[in-house]
Amino acid sequence: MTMPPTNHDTIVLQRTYDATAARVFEAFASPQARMRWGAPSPSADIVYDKADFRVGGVDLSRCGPPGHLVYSVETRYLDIVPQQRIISTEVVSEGTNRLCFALITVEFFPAGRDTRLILTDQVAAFGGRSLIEGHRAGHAAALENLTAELRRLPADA
Amino acid sequence: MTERSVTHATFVIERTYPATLARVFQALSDKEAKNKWFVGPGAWRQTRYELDFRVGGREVNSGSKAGEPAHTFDAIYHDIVADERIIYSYDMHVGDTRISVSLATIELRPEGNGTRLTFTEQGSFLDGYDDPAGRERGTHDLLDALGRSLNS
Repeated sequence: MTMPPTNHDTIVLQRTYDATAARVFEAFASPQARMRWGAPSPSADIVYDKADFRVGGVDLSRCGPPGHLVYSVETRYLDIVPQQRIISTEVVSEGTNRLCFALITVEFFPAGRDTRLILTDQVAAFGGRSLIEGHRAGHAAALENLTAELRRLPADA
Repeated sequence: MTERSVTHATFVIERTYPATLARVFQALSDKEAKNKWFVGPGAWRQTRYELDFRVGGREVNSGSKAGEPAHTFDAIYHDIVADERIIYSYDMHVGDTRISVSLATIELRPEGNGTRLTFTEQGSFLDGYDDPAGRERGTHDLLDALGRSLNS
């Protein structure tokens, strides 16, 4: 019985977007939008098998290299304040192995005509720091993609 | 209009109990055993307790002091390894108001003839209703109560 210890960390990422808080919030609320910007790297895909954006709702998604979506993610929404905050848990698994668990808070703050976004990821992971660094890189890549998503005209959405 | 804010905090509490891993795990996983210690302080009276201890299962513990709104703990279990590890998320409500959301990790390992328990809470405290230090103190009290329940 030699369970590896669980590593805990808190990752905080901040971005400012040239869009209203309503528009940024909508990009999180819409699974169609998230499939466009939410993959954890520029070379990864994400597919939603189930989406239910409400308190108590659960999203089931898969991500990974195109054609090899080996990671499954269960997202459970615990708190939603429209246009202000989303709090969810995320459990990432590979097959039947649960790899990491996270409590993710996204806050939206109007800043003039822009929106400042703060993402706080409180993560618990096994087997060293690589999964925690993976979380950081994955969120950072998605938040970069979100800039392009927000430039899409409403007609393209 | 509620002033919105989120305070993030992590605290770690350790305890050593003079009991086997299996006994401590039972106090965390068996409804009857857990309900001996997982209760509110003083004049708090429980009105609802459910425990479905499995991955994906839910736990709800609700109660109040006379004349005050109910405090409700509502958890989902994310990871369970018998006698070793439990990971769950939970939120707290006072009445209908959500005051916090947290991710909790409990790890058990043998220490001499007893069990070392490490409790890590990564909490998001909402809108100024509760504070991390208060939650940490309350958790200390609960882990003390767990220890006393092992003696009985």
